[in-house]
Amino acid sequence: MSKVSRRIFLCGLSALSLSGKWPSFAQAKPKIVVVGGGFGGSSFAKQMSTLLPSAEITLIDPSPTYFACPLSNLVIANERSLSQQKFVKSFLSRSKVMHVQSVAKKIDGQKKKVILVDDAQLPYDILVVSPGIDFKFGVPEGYDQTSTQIMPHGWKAGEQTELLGKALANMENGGVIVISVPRAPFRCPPGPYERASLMAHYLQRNKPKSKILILDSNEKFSKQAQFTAEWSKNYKNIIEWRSSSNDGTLIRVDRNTKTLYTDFEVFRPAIANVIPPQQAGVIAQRSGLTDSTDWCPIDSVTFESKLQKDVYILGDATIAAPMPKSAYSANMQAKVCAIQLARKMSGLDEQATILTNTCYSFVSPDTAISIVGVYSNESKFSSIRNSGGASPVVAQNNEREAEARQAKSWFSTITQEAFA
Amino acid sequence: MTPSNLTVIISAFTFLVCCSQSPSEDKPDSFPLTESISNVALLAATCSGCHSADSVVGDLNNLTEQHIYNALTSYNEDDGTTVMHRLMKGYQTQDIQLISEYLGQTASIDNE
Repeated sequence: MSKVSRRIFLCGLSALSLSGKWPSFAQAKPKIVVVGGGFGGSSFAKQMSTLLPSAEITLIDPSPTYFACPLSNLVIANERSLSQQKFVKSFLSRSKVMHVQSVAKKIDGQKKKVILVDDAQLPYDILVVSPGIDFKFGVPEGYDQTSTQIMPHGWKAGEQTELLGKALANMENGGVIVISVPRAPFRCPPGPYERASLMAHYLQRNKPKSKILILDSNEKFSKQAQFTAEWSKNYKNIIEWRSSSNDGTLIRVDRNTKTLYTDFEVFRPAIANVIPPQQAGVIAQRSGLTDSTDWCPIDSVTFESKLQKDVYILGDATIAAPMPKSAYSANMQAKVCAIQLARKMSGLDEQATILTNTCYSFVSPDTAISIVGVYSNESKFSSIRNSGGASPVVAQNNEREAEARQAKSWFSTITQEAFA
Repeated sequence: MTPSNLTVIISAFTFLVCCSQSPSEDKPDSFPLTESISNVALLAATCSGCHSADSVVGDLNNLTEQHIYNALTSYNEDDGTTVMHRLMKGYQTQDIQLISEYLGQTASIDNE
């Protein structure tokens, strides 16, 4: 494009601001409260404080740090340390965002207040909820909070990651690992299969008589062709995958004897990695933000809850399919939501746009595959035709290695953007 | 209406306003704020998820508009299989033009 049009573009925008088209933009002082400081909530609070420096932004989260899930399967396979997953929300000390180190218990949408665990109340003009996921304990039957210590899910990073990593390190050569996958939708769709790949890589080198059985409550999975190709090439006879229709659904567990039951079989594995079914974070359930699916219905353009005015929801908790429940999606949604809110406060109309998602999965410590999506959010979320998709099923090792380097680079960039 | 249609309209509008006002009248700090909530800012919001100063996929700062336009166009048109090839298939020429213009600004301001 020519220099002239660039000048027009630049000066046009600044002229607009002088013309009074955005009268309230820099001056607006709304009380914006953010619940949850993960990829969605932190990205939003940080972005909003830049877009609208005069806003009073408060982040409610129990911790000044965050353990990130992406790449945590490398920690389990002893290829990375847990401390590399830990991020200080350092933007809090540089911006005017106030940090309330507590847990939000409930939202009173009528009085527009957030109630904390100590019953303190925080009023808001605009509330942004990014609560992530919680588990549906009781499915499979017998899987409760105590079971998470015996049959760790490893689906929230931190202590659970460590538990599973230690179990793998301590397992005897010849032991069987069962990974059970809940019915979709769940956080990080390719995650269970990345985990199986990295565990297989570890077993091959350290406990070669051991095996992995994936009990899946689904008929197909993310990047299935790519994972399957890598497994038959590199981990032949180590990983077995059973679909739902092939007796793959885990029905019941007995935590006292660490026993797993499907319809027709009983397993007593060395490691039972039970990933339970999921739902929107508990505060969303308690505050009437979920529908019969136990996830949060939202307006696709603004991210405002369809059930509660002036409440906006981001990340894993939302119904945004075909966008997956991923860190990239949460960060992307946070950026778009912040811009839309700043537009609204400036008297500008809401604006449909294009969103994307990128998810890398390691198939060994040095090789990875990816899947990307390009979405329109006009009236509803939909995939843009003839775009997106996964890495080639057959690829040279250097292509897989390049994607592994990109994955690590992506992780470093997105965690900087969200938390630094 | 598609996002790109709308951005065209807004761009046309900014053009009209611009013609009646010279850049020298601008407040120096008013421009970055308003630009950051434009339709193009929405379109380009995705880029910073992967691209930063230290990323192996390249830093977008100090790339010229022309450079970005050429790169995005070839990703859009070529048969390659990288993440960027797969992503750019979802964008139209109009979107690519707007994104390049927006991201190319840092470089163009420095160079002029």
